[in-house]
Amino acid sequence: MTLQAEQIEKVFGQNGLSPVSLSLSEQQFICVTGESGCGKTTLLNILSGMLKPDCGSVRLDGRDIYRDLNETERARMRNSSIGYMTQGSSLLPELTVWQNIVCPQELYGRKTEEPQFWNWQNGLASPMWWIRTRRKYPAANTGGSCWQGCS
Amino acid sequence: MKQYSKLITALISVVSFILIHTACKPCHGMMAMPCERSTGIAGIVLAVILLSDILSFLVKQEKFRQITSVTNVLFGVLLLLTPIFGQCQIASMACRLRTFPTLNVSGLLIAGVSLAALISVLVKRQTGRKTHAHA
Amino acid sequence: MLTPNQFAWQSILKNRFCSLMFLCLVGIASACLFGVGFFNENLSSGIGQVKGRIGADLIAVPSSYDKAAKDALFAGDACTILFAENPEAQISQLDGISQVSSQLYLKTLAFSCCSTAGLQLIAFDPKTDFTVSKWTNDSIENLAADEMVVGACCGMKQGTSMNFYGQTFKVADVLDETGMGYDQSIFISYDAANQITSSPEYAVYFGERQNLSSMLLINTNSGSDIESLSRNLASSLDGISLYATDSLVSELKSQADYFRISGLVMDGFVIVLAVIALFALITITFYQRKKRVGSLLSVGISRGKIVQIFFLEYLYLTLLGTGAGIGIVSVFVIPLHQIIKQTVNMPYRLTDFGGLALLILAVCGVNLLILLISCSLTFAKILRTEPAHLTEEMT
Repeated sequence: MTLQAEQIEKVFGQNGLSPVSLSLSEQQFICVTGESGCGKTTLLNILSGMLKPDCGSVRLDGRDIYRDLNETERARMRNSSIGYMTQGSSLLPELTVWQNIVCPQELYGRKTEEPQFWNWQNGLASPMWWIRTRRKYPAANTGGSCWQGCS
Repeated sequence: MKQYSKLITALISVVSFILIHTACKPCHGMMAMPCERSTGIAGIVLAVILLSDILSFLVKQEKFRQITSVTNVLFGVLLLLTPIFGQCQIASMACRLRTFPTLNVSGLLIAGVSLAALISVLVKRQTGRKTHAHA
Repeated sequence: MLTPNQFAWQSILKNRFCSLMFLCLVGIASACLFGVGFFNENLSSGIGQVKGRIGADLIAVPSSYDKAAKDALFAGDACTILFAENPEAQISQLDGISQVSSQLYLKTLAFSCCSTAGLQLIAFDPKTDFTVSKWTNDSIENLAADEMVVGACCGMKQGTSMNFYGQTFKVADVLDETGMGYDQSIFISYDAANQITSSPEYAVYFGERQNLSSMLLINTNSGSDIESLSRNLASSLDGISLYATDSLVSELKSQADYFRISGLVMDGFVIVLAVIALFALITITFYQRKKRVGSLLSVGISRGKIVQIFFLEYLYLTLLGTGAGIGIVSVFVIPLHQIIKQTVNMPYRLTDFGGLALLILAVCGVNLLILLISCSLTFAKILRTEPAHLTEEMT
């Protein structure tokens, strides 16, 4: 899977993102740094299909995600190919931690079993954390537990 | 929810008790009327409902409050059935026109509010059980 | 498995205060719409029966008993009405008249058991009658002197006995509900009434006269001009008021229309208030939950699915609120039906099941429309706003 951004630009009044190009290949891990207000979040939003750029293109596996895909297809793309983590906790307070994790799949009728979930985890979460928190609502969990759920 | 429901049923009992002895009282005759007996029984039932609601505020035990909710539902139904203890034959008489309809309305409201309170406790318990089942 | 339904219910239970406020708003709106509609339907049902129940083209009553006759007919207020002289023979000989039937309205004595005022006794001639017999299933041509036919709201069953003016009468039949004063009336034969009015104990109450009559029900020949016939009759007979059933009914209908229009105006205000209040509640709630919508979009839930979840949440609250509003109104209007009927002083009859079902559907339909209007901005925001703006992750 490859991700390519060409001359993407976004303007918000006097601030914004200057034209940026970026190319990522499979298994590549990068870190975007910059001072406050330079456009890091805007860049990530554009790359993940959450914010349409004013100009430029973003291609995932050769397909322009803003021109070649409609809104529903972009949502499906985010569901299957993109992991997005917000700066604040994004757990929904009306769902339990387990329901928060599986809602992208189960709302579309794809039931998720716990062993299957553990295969995805690959040791990211400890079994003790899981037993303690999975059936609780976010308000009943600690901040750290909520972050583990987000991840 | 349970405390609000007790407050509502207490208020309904007081208002109904006052109404069946003032604006909606059965007609008083020279002889003993069957509807007066029924109204007396209804008055006692309303007083018992009020007393149990007051006790619910004073006694902090959850079990006691649940029991009083169940009894309120039953007493509410009993208020609906008050006419079986005696009523006048003619439909235009005060008991059939005012007293028993008032008791029907208050019985339905008391039973309905108490039932809603019981259901909300059950739902809360179910939700809590689901949340903590595998903890 | 987490379904949109379950998600919606969990949202409702999590946001209890907002859900309760939503329920109360919808409940109050439904109560107003249903209450007004139910009242108007019952009035229409009662008035619709009037012409058929009276069964005659013209009604003649003594002029001095005009109001009493109308109160007896529509409100069931018991009274004794007497012509100074029975004009039945005179009227039946006039041109244009096909049938005349006499009725005698007598108020019973107050009940011996308590202070309740008497009931309305209506004496009719089973052989010439063309109105009362239409309302009963069984033939009442052979109604005996010790039998009576009672109205639907008298509270008596077939076979029950009751004592009026020292005579015992047994219930031979119970009439269907009419919505008029007939529901609280008791029908006896003219022979039985004559026994009462000529008895030594009670003759003095009735002027010790024979051939008494209170009301004449007149049918005209087909094709006759009822209005001009009524004018001719009124001019040729003194001390008599004549009412064409059609004009009585249209007078009642215009009174009912006044209630209906007033009700519709009130409904209009209620709907506007409900739309504004729900719009504000739903929109403010959405702004509080904007980040959650953004989170759902970020994990790939489509906008359509999110709209579905929100819509289900509000739909369930609307349906519950509608049920609660209708239920609360029903708890009051159905037990207190008789008191409302007496207070209105017009023909008032519980509408049939079909009418009630249509009314409930109409209330649900209006509430759904209110819901769609109130959710419009929220859904538009969900469908059109960029996910990044919803998550507010712009720094």
